[in-house]
Amino acid sequence: MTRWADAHRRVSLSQLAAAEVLRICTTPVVWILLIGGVALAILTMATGISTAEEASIPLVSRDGLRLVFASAVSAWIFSMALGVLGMAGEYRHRTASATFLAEPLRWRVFVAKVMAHGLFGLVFGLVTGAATLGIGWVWLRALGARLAFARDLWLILGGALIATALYAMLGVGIGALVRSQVGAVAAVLGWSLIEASILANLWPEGQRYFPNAAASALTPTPGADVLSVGMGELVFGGYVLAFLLLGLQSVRRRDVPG
Amino acid sequence: MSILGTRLRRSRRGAPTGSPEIFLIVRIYGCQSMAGDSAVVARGLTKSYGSARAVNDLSFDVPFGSVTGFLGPNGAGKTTTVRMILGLVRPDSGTVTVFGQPYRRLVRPAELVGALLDGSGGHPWRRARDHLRILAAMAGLEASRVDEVLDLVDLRYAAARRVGKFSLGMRQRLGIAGALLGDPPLLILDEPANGLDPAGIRWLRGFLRALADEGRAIFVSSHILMEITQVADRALIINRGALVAESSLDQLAGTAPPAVRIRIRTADMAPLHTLLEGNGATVERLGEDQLRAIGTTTADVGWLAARHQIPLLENSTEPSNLEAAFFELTDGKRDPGRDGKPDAGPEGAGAHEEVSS
Repeated sequence: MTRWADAHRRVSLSQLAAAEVLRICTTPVVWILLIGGVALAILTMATGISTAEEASIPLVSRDGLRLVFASAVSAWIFSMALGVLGMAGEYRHRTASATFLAEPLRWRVFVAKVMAHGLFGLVFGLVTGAATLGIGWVWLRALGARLAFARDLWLILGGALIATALYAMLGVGIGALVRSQVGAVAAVLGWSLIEASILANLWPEGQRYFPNAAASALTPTPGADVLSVGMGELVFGGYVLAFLLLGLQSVRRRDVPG
Repeated sequence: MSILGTRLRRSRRGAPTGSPEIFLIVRIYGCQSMAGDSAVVARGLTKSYGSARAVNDLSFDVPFGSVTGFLGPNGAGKTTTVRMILGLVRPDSGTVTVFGQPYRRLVRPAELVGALLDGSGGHPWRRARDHLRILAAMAGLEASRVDEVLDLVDLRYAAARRVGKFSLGMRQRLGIAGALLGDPPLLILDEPANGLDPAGIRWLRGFLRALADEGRAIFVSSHILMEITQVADRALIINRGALVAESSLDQLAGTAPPAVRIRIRTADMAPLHTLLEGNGATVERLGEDQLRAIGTTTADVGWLAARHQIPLLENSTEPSNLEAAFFELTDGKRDPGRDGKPDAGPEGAGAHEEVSS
C-alpha cells in the first residue's frame, strides 16, 4: 500500500527544481553567461579604479572600496539573461510542450524554474564576487595596502549576491511574459537605457524608485542618489515579485504553441 | 470526489499478442466509476484562433487496446486537437479527459500517457541523454530508464551527441523515447512520420505495431493515409476541424466512392474491353493482357466474364480504395496543403507547416 501511495504522489517541488538545475547545467549557455559576467565585472572594476583615481578618491577608503567592489554586481545582466533564456528558451526551442506534459501543473514548473534560476543567480554573484575580491586583494597588496573596511566590503558583496539572484528570478518572469528570447533581452536593455537617461531626467525625484535604480541601492557607489539598502531590497524585490506574478499568469493561461 | 489513483497493468512485454488485455485498477474514493472503456474521451471540442475555427464541435473516443488513426489534411485541426487532449491548448468549449480526468489533473502523467509532438526533441545544444534525464527527473522516474528507452528506439549510439546535430528521423526517435520513459499504456503521437525517410517510416510502422501488440492504446495523427493503414485498427477522419468519418479501416475502404479502379488480367482482351464499356465502365489498356476499369465492381466484372466465358487471370481492386475514400471525405483534395486554417495556432502555425510540407 505504501508503494501505491508513493506512486501517486506528485513529484515534489524540490525534485522539479533539481530537474531545472539539470536543465540549466546541460547546455553550455550557463558557462558562456558566467564567463561573460566575470569578464564584465573585471572590466567594470578597472573602470572603477580609474574613476577613483580621476576623482582622487583614496582607494583604501570606504568610498574607494565601494567604487571598486560594487563592480561585482555588473554580472546582473548575464544573470538575468540566464533567467530569460531559461523560460523563453522553452518556447524558442519548443521544449515547453514536453516540459508541461511531464508536469501539467504549470505553476509548479514555473516555481521550480524560479528556484533553480535564483540559485544560479546566487552562483553568479558568488563567482563574480570572488573574482573581484581576488583581483582586488592582489591589487591592493601590490599597492602595499591591506584590505580594510571589511564590513563595508561584505555588505557590498552581499548586496551584489542578492541582486544577481533577484535579477535571475526577474529574468524568468520576463521570459514568461515575452516569449521571444531576443525580444525579452532587447526589452530589458532598452528599459535600462530609458530608465537611466530619459526617465531619470523627466522625474529626478522618482528615479530612485525605478527598478534598476532600486537594485543599485544594494551596492551603492559613493555619491549615487539611491535608496537605503533595505529600501532598495524592498522596492526591487517588489518589482521582481510583480513580474513573477505576471509571468506566472502568462504561463498558466496562455496556450503552449507547437 | 475524484479518482485519486489510476493504474494500468497490461500483459507482459513479449507475451503472446493474441488478445492484449488491459486491466484497469481504479482506486475510487467515494465516487462512481468514471473511467470506462476509453482512454480518451473528447466531447464537443471547439477552438478558434482569431476568426479561423481550427476545431469545431469534435467528439470522439480512443478505446483501450486499439490503434486509432487520426487522419486529415494539413490544417484540418489535428495538432490543435492533440494539444487540447494534452492540456497544452485550452478549448474554447467542450471537454476532453484522459483516463477519466483532464490531463492537467493527472498525477505522474508520464506513467499514463506518452506523447510525441512536433519539437519534442529538446534544446539543440543539449545532449540526447541529458534531454531524457531531465524528463525522467521531472517525472520522478529512475535515471536507468533513460538508457532503456534509448535502446528501445535504437538511439543509444547517439546518446552523447547534441540534439542539434540530429537528423529529423533521429529527433523523432528521441521524441518517441521521451514518450516511452514512463512506460505508459497510452501513446499520443502527432505526425510521427513527419520528415522520416522511407526506411524511417518502415521502422516507425513496425515499432508502433509492436507497441500496440503489447496492448497499448495508440492515437496517431497523420495527413498521409498510407502511413497508418498498416498500424491502425480504426480511423477518425477530420476535415476543417470537424469529424467526417469514424470507422474501422476495413469499413472505410468499403464505403469507397465508385471511382474504384479495378485491375483485370485476361486471356481475351478485346471482347472484355467492349463488354465493360457496354456496361458503362471506363476502360484503359495497361499492357498485353491487362485492363483497368473504372466505374464497375470486381463482382460485375466476374459475372460479366463468366457469362461470356472469358477466362479471368486476375480481377482485383487497386489498393487505392482507402485513399479514394479519404480524398472523397476530405473534399477530394489530393494535396490540401495550406488552406488558411492554422493547425497550431498563430504562434505555432509557421513552425508546424514547414515540417509537414
